Amino acid sequence: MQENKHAHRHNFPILTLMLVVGSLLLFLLPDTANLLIYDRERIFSGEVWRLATGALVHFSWPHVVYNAVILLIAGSLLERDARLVFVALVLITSIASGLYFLFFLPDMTNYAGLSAINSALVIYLCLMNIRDTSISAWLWIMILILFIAKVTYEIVMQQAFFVSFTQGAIQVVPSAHIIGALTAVTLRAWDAIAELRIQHKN
Amino acid sequence: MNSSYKKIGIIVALIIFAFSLSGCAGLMGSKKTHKKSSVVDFLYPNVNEVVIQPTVPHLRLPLNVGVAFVPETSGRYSRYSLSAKVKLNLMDKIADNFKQYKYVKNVEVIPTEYLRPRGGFDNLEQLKTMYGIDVIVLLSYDQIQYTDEGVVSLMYWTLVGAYIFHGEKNDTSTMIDAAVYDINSHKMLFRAPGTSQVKGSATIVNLSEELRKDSIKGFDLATVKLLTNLAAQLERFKSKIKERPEEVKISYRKGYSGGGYFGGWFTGLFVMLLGIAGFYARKQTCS
Repeated sequence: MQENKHAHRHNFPILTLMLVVGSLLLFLLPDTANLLIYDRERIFSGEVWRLATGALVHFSWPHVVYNAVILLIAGSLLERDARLVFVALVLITSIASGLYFLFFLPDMTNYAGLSAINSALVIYLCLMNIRDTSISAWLWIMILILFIAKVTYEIVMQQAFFVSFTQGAIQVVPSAHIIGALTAVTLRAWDAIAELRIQHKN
Repeated sequence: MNSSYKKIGIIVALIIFAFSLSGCAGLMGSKKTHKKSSVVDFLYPNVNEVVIQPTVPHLRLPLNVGVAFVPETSGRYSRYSLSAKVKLNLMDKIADNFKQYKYVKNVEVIPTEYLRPRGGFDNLEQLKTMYGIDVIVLLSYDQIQYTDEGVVSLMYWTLVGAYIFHGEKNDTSTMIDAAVYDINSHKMLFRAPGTSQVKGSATIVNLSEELRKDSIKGFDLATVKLLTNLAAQLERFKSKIKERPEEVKISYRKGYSGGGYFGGWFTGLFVMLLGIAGFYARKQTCS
């Protein structure tokens, strides 16, 4: 999984752009989005791809735009340095969050949104850059603290954001953000161990 | 002597003229038809005896909403009550308006017969059990029609609910009020009024028929305004929940939809910090 941050630099974040454009297109094509959204009943009836593809679907313009903007920036930063990590984070987070919803949130029939993936990307970036000696290390620490504060607030308040959607009884799911963060921590730990082993061998 | 009689005659004539201009219905034989129902009379019939302590509303989304007209105030106005057909028509319009919201699961139109005069919250609890509703839109109305038959167009100032209308000959002044109550907590969530005034065009020949038409037209126009005001008040209520979440508790019943969402302000802050951190990280890599 470990990629050399400087040796394998990808100048154009093509995968990030594909995800962003795909999410925007899906919002404009509701029929296609209906085939991909996380739908508990349909997953149990065999449409298992919805476990992973629900992340690409969104409920409203603010929902898709805010998520797409974070993905564009965080995804671009990570993909340039570690494309393989980017792919792993996107795949593992979307599947893990889908499975979590299926087994631990039985009352939730639908789920949509990229924020679990965004959480994973942002947390991985923080952990990757936090050891830098420059001023940016403090910025990554600030982002990390902000993220923890945000998730804590969501868990405590529960209801706070349903009115932010244009319409609908849509509950923000803080566990999606936690799963994204845990995936990033696990992957980063894996990389750190691998790095230590290489150093130890040398 | 003659001049004294003349003076008295002029004074009497002036008094009669003054009364005619003041719109005193009793003296000039002018009439008014008053149709009325009141939410206050319905919900708090014995307000001096019982102290109602509202609790914090707990709304479980999506909501089941009921729409009902409170019964007419008994006594002098009861014989001028609004017809069931007109009521049903108005309730259907309001129900259709509520159905457009995704956080409303179902809207039940409840016939007025199911509401007892001065039934209070006990009556609403029964409706809750009967229809499975969480929240009820209680509609009340107040309509006054002036039918003065004098030659001079008279001026009246009339209090209709909390609103003052300027009424003229054969005018129809209408107010419909929608008060949205959480049945469990007995708390009013928000309310909205709709008012209208229909200018009188009736003649003595077709008076009753025209007044009936004006009455329906008055309710239709007031309903249009009510729907607009209701939508505005609903938006205000949503903002209020967001600003002061301690006042209304929101949760989600089985079958809700979940969304991964960071919110506007957080996204802005995140993007700004990510952008700066990314810039520094890139600068360091390049150097």
